[in-house]
Amino acid sequence: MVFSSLPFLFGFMPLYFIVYFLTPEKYRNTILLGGSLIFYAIGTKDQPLYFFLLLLSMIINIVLAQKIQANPEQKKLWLIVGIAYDFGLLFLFKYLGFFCDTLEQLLSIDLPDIHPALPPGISFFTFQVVSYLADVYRGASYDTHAVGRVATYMSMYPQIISGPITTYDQVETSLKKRTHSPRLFDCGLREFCIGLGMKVILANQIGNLWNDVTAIGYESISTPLAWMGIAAFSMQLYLDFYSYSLMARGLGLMMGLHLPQNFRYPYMSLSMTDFWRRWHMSLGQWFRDYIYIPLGGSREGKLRTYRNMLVVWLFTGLWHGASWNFVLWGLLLFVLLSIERLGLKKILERIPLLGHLYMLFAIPLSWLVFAISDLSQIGVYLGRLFPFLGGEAQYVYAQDYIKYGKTYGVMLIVCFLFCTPLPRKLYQKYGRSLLVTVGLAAVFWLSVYLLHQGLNDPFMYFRF
Amino acid sequence: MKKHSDILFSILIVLSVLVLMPFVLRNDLFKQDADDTQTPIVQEPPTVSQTEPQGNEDETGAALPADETAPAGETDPAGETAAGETGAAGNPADETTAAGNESGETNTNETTAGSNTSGEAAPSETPTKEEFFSDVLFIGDSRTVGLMEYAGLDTANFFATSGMSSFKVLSEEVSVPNVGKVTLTTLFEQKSYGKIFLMLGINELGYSFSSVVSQYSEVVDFIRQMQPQATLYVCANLHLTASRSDSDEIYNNDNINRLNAEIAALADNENIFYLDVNPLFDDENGALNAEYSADDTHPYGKYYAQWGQWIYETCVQSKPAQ
Repeated sequence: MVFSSLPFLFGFMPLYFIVYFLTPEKYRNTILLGGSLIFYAIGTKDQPLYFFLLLLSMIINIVLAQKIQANPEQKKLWLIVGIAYDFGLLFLFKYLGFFCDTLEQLLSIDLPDIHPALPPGISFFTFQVVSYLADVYRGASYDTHAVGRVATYMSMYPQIISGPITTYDQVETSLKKRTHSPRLFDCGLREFCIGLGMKVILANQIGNLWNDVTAIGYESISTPLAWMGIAAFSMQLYLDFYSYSLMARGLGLMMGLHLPQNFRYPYMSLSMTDFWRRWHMSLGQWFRDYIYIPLGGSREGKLRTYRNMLVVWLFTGLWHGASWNFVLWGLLLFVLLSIERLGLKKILERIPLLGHLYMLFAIPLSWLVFAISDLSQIGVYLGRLFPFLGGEAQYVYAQDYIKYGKTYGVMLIVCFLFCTPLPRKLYQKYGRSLLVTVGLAAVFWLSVYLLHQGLNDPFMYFRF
Repeated sequence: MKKHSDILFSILIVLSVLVLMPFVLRNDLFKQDADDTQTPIVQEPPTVSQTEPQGNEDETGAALPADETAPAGETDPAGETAAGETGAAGNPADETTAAGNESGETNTNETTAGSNTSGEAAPSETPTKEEFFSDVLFIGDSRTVGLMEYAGLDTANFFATSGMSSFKVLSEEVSVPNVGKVTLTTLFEQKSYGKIFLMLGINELGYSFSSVVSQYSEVVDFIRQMQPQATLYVCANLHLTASRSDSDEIYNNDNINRLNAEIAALADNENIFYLDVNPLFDDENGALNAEYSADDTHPYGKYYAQWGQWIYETCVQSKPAQ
């Protein structure tokens, strides 16, 4: 069940908050835990096994953390067991199919075709619980016997499906005791509605341009449309993910729970290095704290540093998806970040105009490799972006960019604006004014209308 | 006052959720009902729909007057060869026309020569692609828009928009390239066509089947009445890919086949012919081949070009002497 859906907005969410606020404060974590489990159970109603898998994983990790804390001599063993279990499960569901396909091709043998449905949120859950085990291993003074609290931390419905990946110390205080206030609730609801609008009104709509480009076929798009398409994909990806993080944060705030920020205007960065400190920050921090630094970070010589970066970026690539284009994408980021480390970054930061210009190409081109899983199709698309590189164009409708410009031009500009800090600055200044308050409520109504129209009314939503 | 403004937003949202909640829930229930009533209609003729693709193919062959009217010798070769042969027999200028058009080139001289001959000596002539489409009007939805944009049929007129349906086609203003924004009536008053291709129906699938069929034949009657000289091709709606067809209660190939069968029945094989392109793009199960489409609904741009060529070849081969 995604947040931007009518069953969530009109079913789960109001019911949850009514129950939550009717419950005395000291039982509210129980409500959060229960609500989260129900949320996950609804989301996996077609694969009920996955719900029990979640319960099992929670129990195993809670017990292992207790063992790590209790036995300093054996803690390494238990940590390894935990990591093996968590990543083993992730591998089984997410990577085994890819692994087998690759083996089949390499050795030309026949292996069973294993592509199970992915348990919702497993990539996020795995990273979160591993951070918990690793923190306890490193001696964090977590109360591993506060089972209810830890279970709540592992399964909180605002972030279990799609992050932010939270470390236990980031939420421990709020889980122990948190203040509720009408004003905080209001702030949270506002964040939630901003996120909802960003998702439904902006991300979904601009995403249609990318869908259209894909439907035409990359070999038949004009060069201007190719650029519009990849710009649309870049904005959709950002607004979609950012909006989800905002909704998660908003839901947390409504119950006095402070979840970390996940994005800080990444498209305003001057270098890819900077970009990855501002994009999906909770993931970047995870890789830094649990992979890069344990490997030695940048303190053990240049060669080691680049090795560590390569490891981090290959895994970052694979974390995003199990196919070769994600490996290639990770490698591309590694190359870009290495070049920046060798000196480019300093130049880009000294001349901001140059930095923005560089990012204007680096961002969409790196997302291109992310977006298209068929490597040969990436080549086709590059040929349309840069026709002077050659590449075959077939049956291009030369005026296509005018047609799609008319449909999506305004949306492209609005989305671009929402990639800058400007809307947030205005909101901070005027957010409490009557006009903005009612405007934001209108955003909610419009979002509900669009959701309703898209889902329930085939008569009004012609697509042919 | 300050206090109220702190939570004014929450009050607005909570109130609107409470007000909308019964509506949204009832609407979901209502939708469920609608689906229930529709399900039997949808599944009524499963036997027909499964065998439809083959059936249609045969029907198409019979529908087009190839067997009846075409002299045996002339139907066999592909369009181009026929053009070359007859060109040589007629006058030398035409040979260049045919050759020029074969390679996809056109220049003004040739076109003029071509359209002259096609106007005067049409019966003995196999028209080139440009000639063939020069008196053609396409009427349709987004699939026809795809033909307009990607098939390279520059000499034809297109009255098509995304979302067009037989319920809208008689009243809606459409921007027709090289003509302007017109209703179908205005367009018919302005221009006279030799061939009209009508491909509508998929957007209507949500409506009751009988009303769709009767509306469609009303559109056919209207076109026949306004453009009696034109040959009308009623075209099968293109299939969807299996993945979409299997998961969509309304837009699925069973419903499309069912409607296509009704459309085929309108053909009189004299003035109205039925044309089914689906065999060209179908997979072995009679669904749109998944490799031809990214959105399960529209073929890639390059396949519209094949489609256009197919229309040309099919019509020219089948009706050389019309």
